[in-house]
Amino acid sequence: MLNSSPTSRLDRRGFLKVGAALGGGLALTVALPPALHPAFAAEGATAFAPNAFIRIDRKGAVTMVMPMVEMGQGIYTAQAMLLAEELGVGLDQIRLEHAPPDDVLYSNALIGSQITGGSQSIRAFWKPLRQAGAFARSLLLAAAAEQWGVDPATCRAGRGIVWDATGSRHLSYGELADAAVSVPVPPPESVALKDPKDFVLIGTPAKRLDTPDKVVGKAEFGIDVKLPEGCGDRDLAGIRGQAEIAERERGARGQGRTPGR
Amino acid sequence: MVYKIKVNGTEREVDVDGDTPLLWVLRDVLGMTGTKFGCGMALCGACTVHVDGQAVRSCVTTIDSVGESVVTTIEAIGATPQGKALQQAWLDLEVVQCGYCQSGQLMSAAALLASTPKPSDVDIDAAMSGNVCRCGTYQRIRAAIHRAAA
Repeated sequence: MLNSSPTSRLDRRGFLKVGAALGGGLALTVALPPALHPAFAAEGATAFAPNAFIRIDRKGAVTMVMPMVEMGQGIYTAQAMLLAEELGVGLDQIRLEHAPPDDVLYSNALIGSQITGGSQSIRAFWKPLRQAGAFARSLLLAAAAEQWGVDPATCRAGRGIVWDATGSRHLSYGELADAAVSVPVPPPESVALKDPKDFVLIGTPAKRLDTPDKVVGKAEFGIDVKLPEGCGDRDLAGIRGQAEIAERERGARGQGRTPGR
Repeated sequence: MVYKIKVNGTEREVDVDGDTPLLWVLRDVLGMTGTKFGCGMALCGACTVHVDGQAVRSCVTTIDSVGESVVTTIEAIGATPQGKALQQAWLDLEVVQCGYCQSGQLMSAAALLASTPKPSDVDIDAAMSGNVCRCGTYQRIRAAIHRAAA
């Protein structure tokens, strides 16, 4: 997550926010342009509506806070591919974390709330996640180029490593994560996305990222969620779709309706 | 009352009524949520665990019937040769879709391979017919069991 350190900077269009991750490294917040969804504009939502968080720590681990729910449709893998493709890491180098329920932070901009469904997860995140990946890669390339005193355009990145033009020097994303926080932030429109013909992950078969936990009983389904100590009715009532809070003898509390129905 | 049960190689003490389903003990008392609640009536197989190596539906297995028996769940089945081979085959063939039933599927499959190391399609269908999969992964499950048995 982003902290409030003075290194946090908002780019011109409020689309991507760069900051230092807690514990070191690079943190990126992505926002869908609110104009994409009329409801946002109508509600007078703030210009900055982040819906995905990406962290790169000093060991090079890329963590993506996943706003959408995996129900077997493969979204954990597909959205991770969007990010990995442009960031220049392997799918196996991405770690996923569930996003908590938060309509402000993790909305699907096409739907206007944090709902997974309607075949909207790829549509809504297709460009923003790729832009986030490309943007982060450009910062990491710039950080490496700065250390070597070369033009970033001569460097290349792959599998979480930046190489110089000759291939003789290289730095890992983990080694660059701190420096990437303070390089000049380029205008997002100056960061080019890959031409689809150059995709190495998108459009290729991949092993699903959610499967390993599911064959060992580690995956957390809705019924497995344990409410944290001190989680009260007010917290539950804050979840959209929550109609009433009812005390039950055993099991889950709270009754919701399916949003959108 | 307090019951001592052996779960995944560890003796655990639980203070519950005697008619409490083993599934509730595993999930709600011991916090082991790998075993799933599906129907609560032994109709779907999502709650399958091993009791002395036999695949049983933990939702209708009362805690007072467990006694000295050894309970094994999805969290520990990977320590057995059959469980390990099955989990790998499940990954190799991407068996899982939503995954909710797969703990039970794997437990039933592991019990099958322990008793029938080289099962035929008929053996597999007979052993696995009590495990329902809403996503319909049955063909991949069968293929993965063959792969694990190979």
